[in-house]
Amino acid sequence: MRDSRVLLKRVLSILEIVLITAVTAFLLGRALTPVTYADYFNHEMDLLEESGEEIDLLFVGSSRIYNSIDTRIMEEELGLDNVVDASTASQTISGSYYMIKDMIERLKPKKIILGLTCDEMVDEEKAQAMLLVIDRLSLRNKLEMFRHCFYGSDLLYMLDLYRYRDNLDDIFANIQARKELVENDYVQEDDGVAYYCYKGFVYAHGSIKTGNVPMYTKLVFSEDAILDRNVEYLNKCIELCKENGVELELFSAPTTVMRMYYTDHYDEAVEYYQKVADENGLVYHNLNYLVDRETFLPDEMMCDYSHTNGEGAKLVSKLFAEILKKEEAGEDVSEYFYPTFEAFCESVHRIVAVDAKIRKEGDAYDLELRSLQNPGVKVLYQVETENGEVLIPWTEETHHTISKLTGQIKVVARSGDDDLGRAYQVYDLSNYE
Amino acid sequence: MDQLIEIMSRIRPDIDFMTATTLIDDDLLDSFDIIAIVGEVNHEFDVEINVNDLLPENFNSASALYELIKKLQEED
Amino acid sequence: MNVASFLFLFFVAAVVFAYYCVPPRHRWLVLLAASIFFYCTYGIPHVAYLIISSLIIFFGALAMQKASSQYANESASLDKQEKKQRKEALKKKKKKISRIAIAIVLGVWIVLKYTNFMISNINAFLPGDGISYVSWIMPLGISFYTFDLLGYLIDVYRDKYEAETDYLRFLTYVSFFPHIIQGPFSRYDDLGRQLKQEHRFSYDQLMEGATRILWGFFKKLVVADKLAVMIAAIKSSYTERPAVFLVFAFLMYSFQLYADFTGYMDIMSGISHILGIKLAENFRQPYLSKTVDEFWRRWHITLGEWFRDYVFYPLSMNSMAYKVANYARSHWGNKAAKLLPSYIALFFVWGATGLWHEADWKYVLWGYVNMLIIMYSMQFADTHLKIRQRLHIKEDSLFWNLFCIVRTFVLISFVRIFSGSESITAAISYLRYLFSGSLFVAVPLSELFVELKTSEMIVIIVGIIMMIAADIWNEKGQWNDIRQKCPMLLRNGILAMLIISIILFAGGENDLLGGFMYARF
Repeated sequence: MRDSRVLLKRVLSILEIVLITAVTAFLLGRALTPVTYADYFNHEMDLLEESGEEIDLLFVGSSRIYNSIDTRIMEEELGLDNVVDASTASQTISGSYYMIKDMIERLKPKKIILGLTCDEMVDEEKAQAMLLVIDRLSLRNKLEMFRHCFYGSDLLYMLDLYRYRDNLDDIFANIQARKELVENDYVQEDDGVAYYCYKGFVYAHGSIKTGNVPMYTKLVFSEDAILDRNVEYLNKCIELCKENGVELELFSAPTTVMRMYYTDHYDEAVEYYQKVADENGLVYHNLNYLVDRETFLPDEMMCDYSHTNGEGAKLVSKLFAEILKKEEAGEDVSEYFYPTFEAFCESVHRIVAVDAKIRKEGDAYDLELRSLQNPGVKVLYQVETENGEVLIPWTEETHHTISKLTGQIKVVARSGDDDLGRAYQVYDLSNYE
Repeated sequence: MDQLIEIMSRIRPDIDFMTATTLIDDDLLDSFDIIAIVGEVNHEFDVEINVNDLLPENFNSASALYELIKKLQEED
Repeated sequence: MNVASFLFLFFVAAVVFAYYCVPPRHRWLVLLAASIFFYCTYGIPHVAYLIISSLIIFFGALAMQKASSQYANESASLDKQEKKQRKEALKKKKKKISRIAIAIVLGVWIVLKYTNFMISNINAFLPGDGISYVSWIMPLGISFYTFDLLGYLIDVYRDKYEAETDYLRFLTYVSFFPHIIQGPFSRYDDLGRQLKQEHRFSYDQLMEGATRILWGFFKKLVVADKLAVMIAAIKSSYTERPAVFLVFAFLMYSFQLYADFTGYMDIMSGISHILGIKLAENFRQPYLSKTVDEFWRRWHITLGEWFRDYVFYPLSMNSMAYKVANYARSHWGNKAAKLLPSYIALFFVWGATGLWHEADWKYVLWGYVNMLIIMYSMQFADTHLKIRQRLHIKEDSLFWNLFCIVRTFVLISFVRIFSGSESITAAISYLRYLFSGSLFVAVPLSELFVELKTSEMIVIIVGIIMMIAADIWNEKGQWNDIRQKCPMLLRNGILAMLIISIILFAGGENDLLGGFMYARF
């Protein structure tokens, strides 16, 4: 009798510790979770589910997709009730699979357009990117994605408390933001930078002057670098759609010309997707190959080196809707696109981008200049101060040293005959101390 | 024995060596006290206490130490 | 296998489970297997050093034991003269065996640890690049198990106890995984004896041990690691900061060291406790010490006791020491006779202690500064007593006790500037900025805690308060009382909060895999 009482007391004590820990972890986790696009997205999807509606057209992919597809225009142009964009930042192909699976189970989309660039196939999975997808899934799919895609200590991310522990200092501001989220009826205000607009579309402000796109992150594509796991998930996406009678289309969302030129074997990536599409009887469009994009989608329509801004999204969506309508009617849409990368490049009549690698050497600065342009174009560089004073006059030489200077410098690149558009970049020397 | 207690009291006047029996066990003497006591004892009683004799049973009380001194004197 | 990792927790759980599944007689074998396995995860070549050193000492001790037993058997039937002769012969033989064994085992350790140090010193006098450094790796824990082995051999030499006859039992003691990497230094008649006893499962031991492990992880992963970030940031920018930051840094460094070291000890003691084994305590509320001398009897206790028993006493109680004492007595009086042998012994002890920590002159300097402080208070003990009497300061007044505690803490923390800096020159530079900089600058608390978020600062402060409270209760002997009177809900709530804190704060740049500070010894 006494033994069982002691045992009971011990069990209760352990349960008490577990319970207090679990409850505190849950409450703190909730308080620490910041308001993200997922909150708005989930709210809209919940409303759709509740009213028994279904998705007519679903876009899935990375941030390039949610910045360039204006779902309102899509609905309007295509005459559809529900066009949804379930894209998340840096979405992995495994994330796309689970997103598609979840949407099919809940909102039965009739057609899915899957966005692909070159990174999804060659990149390792990153926990933070996958968590953004997890935030939008049903509980069952959340657990399944954790089981299949997370290993080792990454599984700790199942705890919101652990995932958001860096927000501890902002916990009160966060609780306030959550309160306001409900008060504002899950509508995000335009903050002048980027905001969640409608059914997954994120309107981005900002505009880059033509020729002023910075040369960021060189990407490399090669079939050898493609990871088996990513191919596996791409095939799973295709299989899943087939099994459920969902029409699947592949596409590449528009990006800057810089990004296309600064990706090794960019054309091979495009060919790879075309091959996958052909093998599976799917349609694939690369919106970067849109004819006359230099005219209607210049760098000004981009908010940064990779994404379209809201205005650019409007143009892209209208045009893409037109193409989809024609396809629906069985018409040939190949005239909308350049057939090859070379053909596209012929329409580029400018120096695409220029860049200077700057290093401080004692009192002087060491400059390594480079640029992106069509093959065969002779390039000349000039370096000026912020007042327009010429430090290094037009030269083909790429390695320079400038001394005793502060403030900003401007690097300009032009073609030999100056018959192409120029590119330029401004650098603040104090950043290179 | 009185001589021994006098030696020890000179080194640690705050301890009552007549009655204390846990000098080592209760950390009443520190290592410097022990060295000092051993030094004086060696000089006064003409013995050579060495490291091997540094056991609690020999130093826990003045009488225990006195036993050790007698034993060492006999061995000579 | 890193201790601060899920893998290690899983390993411990597996060991405990296997340990209590196996019949009590064989439980030590589980420990042996687990300890060897644990050590192997650090590199199989390392195990070779461990095995070879332990074999040399084991057989050395056995050889001495055999000679002693032989003498004991034969001496009963001998007359006094022959007995004395045989005793001398035995002593000689034991000396020879122990010297060879110690020379090899200690020699290996010295070569591994100090070769580069000696090379760097020689190179200072050579032109050009000098001799090139070696890249030998120090086997983990070698500074600890080497000394455990030496202590065992010396104890057998001194007939303190009989040599162990079962090598596997002996190896279990040497390799016992909770104490092999960072200590505590264990004596064979303590830990070895415990490992031979049969231990029964006890739920209370399990819970006490688990609580202690949790507390240890909290101190290490939350308090120590975060303080380390802050102190590293101040150390790398001290030339640009007002002196108040430098003072804050060296004071907080003491808390970082304390949390790191006792955290590790708590984890290992907790694990041992679950296994029914009590490891020697290494800390006894050290920051409540009233003198620096007392501090070194409360901090890293087993290290101090090792040096006391195997270096200090032998040096201060041999015939040379007595000659010195007599010389001092006849030239300078009784006080000198009392103190001089101790001073000489201290000189060697503190030099060795400093060098044991690291093969660097900065640690030697650190050791000798500590020594000088201790010698100073020994030398002028009576003068200080007179001053206190003149000022009517009562020994047991709260004011005086607090003063002594704070004084000791500041002194110890200050001396750590030498051991905590990159080098002696770095330490001197730090000191220069410390004494010339502005001390009375108003700095908001959150800014003092450089590189730390407000939430991290709060948890560190709470952690330190908890550590101080626990120390005060322990010092007053009230700890058990408090624990029993504490309502279950509060106790469980605190444990839950420790777990939550670890999830919230552990890791970061250290990534849940930060190393423990004493492991590199």
